[in-house]
Amino acid sequence: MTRARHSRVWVPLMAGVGGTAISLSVGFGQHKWEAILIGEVVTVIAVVILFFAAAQDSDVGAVLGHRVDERQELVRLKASRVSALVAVAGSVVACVVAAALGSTYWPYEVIYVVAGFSYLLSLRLYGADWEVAEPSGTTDRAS
Amino acid sequence: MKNRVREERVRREMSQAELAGVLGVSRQTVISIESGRYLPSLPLAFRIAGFFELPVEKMFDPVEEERT
Repeated sequence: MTRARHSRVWVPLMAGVGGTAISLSVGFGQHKWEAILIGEVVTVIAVVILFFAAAQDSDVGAVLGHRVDERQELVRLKASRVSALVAVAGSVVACVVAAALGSTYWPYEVIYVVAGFSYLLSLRLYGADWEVAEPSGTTDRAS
Repeated sequence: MKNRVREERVRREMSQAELAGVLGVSRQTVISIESGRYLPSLPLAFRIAGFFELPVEKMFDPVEEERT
């Protein structure tokens, strides 16, 4: 029960940390102090919504609360794949547009380059074999 | 793939939530299995068959899928 309670906290906690980091960086970096206030209000709202959503007896609640079964894990993986593809595609488009407009484009390059290398690394990590399989014995030949 | 999960569950007067608890999956997954929207993994299929004390091939009928 304790482990289940902690797993429900994880996603809201990460959202809170991420939202606060963004608010503070915008506020201090851009000297827009009101951005910190607005950003933190939005972050708190998101954290509360995620916390209660993670408690729901639904597939989305199970994913947010880190208590997925095999089917929900499959759904989560498919959704993660789609969001990763969209993020990479978006970064490529943003890179192209920024470069064409003469703006800074290297942050977008970082996104899709890191994503590409992490994809290759993940293939290896999860058992994809890089070696070309040699045909074994005579059973592979037509008799 | 056609299966007898719902038929056997109802015969034992169990709710979907109760069966989900026994199998260690969510109620939504039991619903998906019964409706044929989700094909359980081999270990889960064996757990289901074992709980209902039926052979796996009696619980899950692949013939329906091959015909369609």
